[in-house]
Amino acid sequence: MIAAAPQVLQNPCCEFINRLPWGFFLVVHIALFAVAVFLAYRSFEVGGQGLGWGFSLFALAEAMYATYHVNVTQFLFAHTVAEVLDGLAFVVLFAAAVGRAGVRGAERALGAA
Amino acid sequence: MRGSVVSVPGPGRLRQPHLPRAAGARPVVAGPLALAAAMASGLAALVHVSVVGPHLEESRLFAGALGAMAVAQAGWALLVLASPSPSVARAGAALNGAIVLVWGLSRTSGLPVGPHPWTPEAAGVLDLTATGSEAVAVYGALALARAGGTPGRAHRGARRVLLRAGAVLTVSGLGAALLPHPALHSPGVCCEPHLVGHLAAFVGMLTTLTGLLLVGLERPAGRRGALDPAPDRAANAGARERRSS
Repeated sequence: MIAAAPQVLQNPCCEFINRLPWGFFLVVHIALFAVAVFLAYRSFEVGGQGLGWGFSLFALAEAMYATYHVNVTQFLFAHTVAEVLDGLAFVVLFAAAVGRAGVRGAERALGAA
Repeated sequence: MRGSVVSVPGPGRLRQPHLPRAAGARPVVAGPLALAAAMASGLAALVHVSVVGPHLEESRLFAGALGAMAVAQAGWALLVLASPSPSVARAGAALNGAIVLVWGLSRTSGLPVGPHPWTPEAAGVLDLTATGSEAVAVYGALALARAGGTPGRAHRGARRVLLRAGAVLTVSGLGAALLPHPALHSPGVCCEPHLVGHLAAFVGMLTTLTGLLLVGLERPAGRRGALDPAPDRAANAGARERRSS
């Protein structure tokens, strides 16, 4: 249990976050979801499957955060699963971007030869 | 130099089996669009079956009508999966559209028959769910009919429907969740607007993701772009071979 973990401070930092309205977090998650869907759609449209799936995973993570808002999952569970999905999304995005950079480098090398 | 390298056709471009359809073969329209419409109609049928019992005490006419609607909706869901022709799709749109109209009448002016003629009934979560599913079934069935037997068109129709419906649901749900509803808040008549907004936004996100999944799974021939390394690698390998020979 997290509550049983050693506590360094009696009043931990940044209590202001608890005073933000729930609507703020919903707006943030839906805005990030919209951006991710747009980028995934554009990537798929131009044939960038790796980038498309990476952004899709990011969008799925944002939808996972929203399960807490509709009271389908617990706060900690939703955030844990969403962060795992975010991690996977970053790995896929980085791999796709590195692969793309490698191809461009090879193209340049061939062009110079 | 670079242009000549990229323009070499790689192996990826060789696999484009656009074979002509055999004469007399039935066009395959079934796919995500037919499945979505069938699932929506099936969900509405389930809701109708679940309320037949409670309506038996109130009115046998209503209970019988709800049972008949459930049978028709479930039957159409099976039919459109087995034989997804444009005429079957149009029949499903008419069936579900007529049920939505009757529901609208029952919640506004009231129906002319039954134990309380011309008395509007209150809306609830179950009937709103059924009506929403029927609206999706109507939209999907009409898009299926318009696709007219071409798998590619049906697939594109499905993803278009899902992406647009998802965007509309998400935005309207967010609006319903955030806006104040002092006049609309009436527990007992319907569900709490903020909760409905949250649910609509969440369902919208899932719908959008499903549409995005279809976009990702579909890979039109000849649409590979500069972001995809595969054809460039193949092209470069081909160019290297030609240069060395």
